[in-house]
Amino acid sequence: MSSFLEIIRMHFKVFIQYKWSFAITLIIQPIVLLIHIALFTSIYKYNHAQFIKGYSLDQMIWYFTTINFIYVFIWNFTDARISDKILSGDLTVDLIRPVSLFRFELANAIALRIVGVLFEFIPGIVLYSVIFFPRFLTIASLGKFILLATVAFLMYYLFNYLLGLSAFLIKSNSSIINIRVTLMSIIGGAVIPLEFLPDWLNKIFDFLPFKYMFYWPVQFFLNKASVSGFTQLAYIFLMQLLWVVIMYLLCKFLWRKAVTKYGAVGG
Amino acid sequence: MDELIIDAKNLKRTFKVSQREKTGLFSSLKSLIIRKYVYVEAVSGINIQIAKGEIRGLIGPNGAGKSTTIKILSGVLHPSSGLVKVMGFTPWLEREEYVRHIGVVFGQKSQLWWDLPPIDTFSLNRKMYRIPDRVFRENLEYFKEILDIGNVITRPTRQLSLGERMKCELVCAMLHDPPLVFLDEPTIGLDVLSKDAIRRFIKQTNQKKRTTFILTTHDLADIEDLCENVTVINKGGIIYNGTLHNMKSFVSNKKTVEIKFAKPVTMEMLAGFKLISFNPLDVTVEIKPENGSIQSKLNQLISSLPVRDININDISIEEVIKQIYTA
Amino acid sequence: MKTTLRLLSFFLWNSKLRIARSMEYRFNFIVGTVVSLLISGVGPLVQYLIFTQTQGYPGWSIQQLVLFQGLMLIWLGIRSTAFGDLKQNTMDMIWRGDFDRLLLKPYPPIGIILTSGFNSNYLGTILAGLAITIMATGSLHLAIGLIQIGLVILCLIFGLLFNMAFDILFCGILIRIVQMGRFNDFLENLLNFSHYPVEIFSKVIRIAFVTFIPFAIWIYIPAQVLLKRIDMKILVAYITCLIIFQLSLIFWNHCLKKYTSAGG
Repeated sequence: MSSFLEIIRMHFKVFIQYKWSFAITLIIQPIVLLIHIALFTSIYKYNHAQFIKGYSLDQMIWYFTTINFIYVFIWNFTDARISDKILSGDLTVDLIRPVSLFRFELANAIALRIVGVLFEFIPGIVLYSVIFFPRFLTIASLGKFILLATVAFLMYYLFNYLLGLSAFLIKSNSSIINIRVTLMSIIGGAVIPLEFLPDWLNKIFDFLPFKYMFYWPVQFFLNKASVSGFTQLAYIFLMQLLWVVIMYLLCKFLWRKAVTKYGAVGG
Repeated sequence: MDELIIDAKNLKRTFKVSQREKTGLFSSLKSLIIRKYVYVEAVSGINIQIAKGEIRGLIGPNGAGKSTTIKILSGVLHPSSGLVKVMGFTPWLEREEYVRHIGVVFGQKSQLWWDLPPIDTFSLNRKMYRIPDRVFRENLEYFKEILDIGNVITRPTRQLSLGERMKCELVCAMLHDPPLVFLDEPTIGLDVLSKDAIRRFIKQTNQKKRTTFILTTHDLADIEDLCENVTVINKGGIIYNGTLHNMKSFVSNKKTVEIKFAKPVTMEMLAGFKLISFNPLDVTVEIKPENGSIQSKLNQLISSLPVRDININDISIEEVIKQIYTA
Repeated sequence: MKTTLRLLSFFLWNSKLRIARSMEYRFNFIVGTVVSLLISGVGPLVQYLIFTQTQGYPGWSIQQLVLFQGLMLIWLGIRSTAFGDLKQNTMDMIWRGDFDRLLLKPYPPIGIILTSGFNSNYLGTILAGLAITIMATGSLHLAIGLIQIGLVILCLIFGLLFNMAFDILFCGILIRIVQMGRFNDFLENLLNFSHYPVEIFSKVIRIAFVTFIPFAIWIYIPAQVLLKRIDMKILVAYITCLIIFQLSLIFWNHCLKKYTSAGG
């Protein structure tokens, strides 16, 4: 636990070293919001519609902003980090640590996200609200969102960890890592609300983890009528936990297989 | 024999490596479809015993299997077969607990956080290895003084020189007082002063704390300076194991004789000697005592030639190693 | 001029090397091409969905939109083939502290950076884009003459310059602050402006995008050229691209001077 706090402290220090890059990020962020305001204002006007696919104009615009918040909660580079280590042989350095790679990387990812939530999510939600006020938002919906986004973080970490380990099997796995972003963003509803996709496709997506990382937490943030009850929240939460358990077991299993085959690069 | 800290028997490790004969576009296209694999035996049956408190040098040409051996002994790699006991552990099976008792530095890899000063990595290790505060402070003071890194450890790692970085890597590996330390090419690419500091550090720590060191290196001065015993590895196997002193006689007990002449000589005048280098006024020859005594050979030289000065040397360690490697 | 030619040959040589290297990992190369196509396909997919599930965009029919998307794929493919690895490479290099080595080479450092970003995975995307564009021109019964093709190629050339300006801006900031955080994500998002026909924006933005902030040069203007809905404004866009490229070089030189005088 104390080495975990130490890792968080170190990430804070790295953050302070690179404060300028974060400052620039913060200034540029609203541009994305402006694109969506322009796009959807024009589309809603041209359609003479109050609602498109069940979203009001401000919900639609905030849909994409909330997706961005999800990324702030879940984003980590564990997959690339692990596969780089495996391919370059730097995994050797991790194997001489008295902590398992799983826990070490998890601590890194959590630390990184705590920094992200403090310096991107909190200022971001204030800044965006000033630009385009989210009339639908309540304290309760924000709370539910934070809960689900936190579990989504775990799901994403486990998913990335599995991807990273795939370097053991197929050496250079950068294309697999790239496909992750695309898959996630389409299936999870990160590029466009899933209502725009056909029903049958949505039914398939229900069996994959990504929807529970993006689409559902966002629905709670937007306070959609379809997720107002407690049962919906409990259902989504349990589904997330189920995925966490499944992926965790897979990680354990694969790691045990892989590490016996590990051939450190160089001599 | 002293108490053994490492006892490894019949270690083997094979790697599967893909092979591509030619470079170029066509053959790379071909390798998309057909690919040959070869099995490379990096380590083939190594036995190694190391006593507590020893500084053992592991030498051998590039790709001989030194690093693989070290990686197996430090728990990073699983061997294909073989038995290892290090302080009662089987390294790769009880890795997380085992590595608390060892320190490892890989000269080509870093465990320092690149963006932060080394002192931050040290504190992380303090937590990770659960080092008591007092031990941590004392050790850090000791290292700071002996390695002269007092004002280095508070600068970001990416701004440090190679030598400074290597010193900090050593500190990283040794803050938790491990009784056994593996150093894989710790002096690679360093200048004379840094090398000296690192050697002094190893020697003193070995004496003061009875730490066992195992180091691989290509710099024979490291070995001569530090190690009583050396293990020479080549092509995955051990070809010599014993004291440095005996290693020279293991090859042969040749002597080299440098002779300076008062007047120029010709090569013909030196017929019957094995010439190492030749100048009309300055010649080096090699003498093997077993083909007749050194005395008679030297007599022959001094009486028949205008010798001004003579110098008899043992064959150099470089020469010995070269012979062992190519044997 | 001579330097530019040398840099171009450097680019070709580098590209050849990259292709050979990516073949080394067979699984990755095949999947890489498919994946890249998928990645570039997301933009057009989103467009298509929004377009078909709503009333669409003012002034665009579905066939015309397909043409727009074909050109979008071509552009994304070209951009990623030529500069796909540029940002990551440069970030790695600067973070590791290897940037100084570029200063030892007998070329302008930014020239070397710009010529070493080749990524072979996106060649497939260009082909897919070409196929869709040709099909769309067929279904729209467009007569494409040499003039149109010439104008489109000019758009691509000036578009590349405009795109390079962004990469140069990125690298300039990078050598000053070392780590970019998520800055790149937002730069990419900024470029998303170009993924929509400008008709969806308000009038001021619409005019800006085809003239002084010519985001439209990559996809919208080429589409308009093929649809024969273009006027003299195209020249303004060309010239602005050139000016912005020059400005970015000035910015870069400024950053480089700051960097070298600060001593890393």
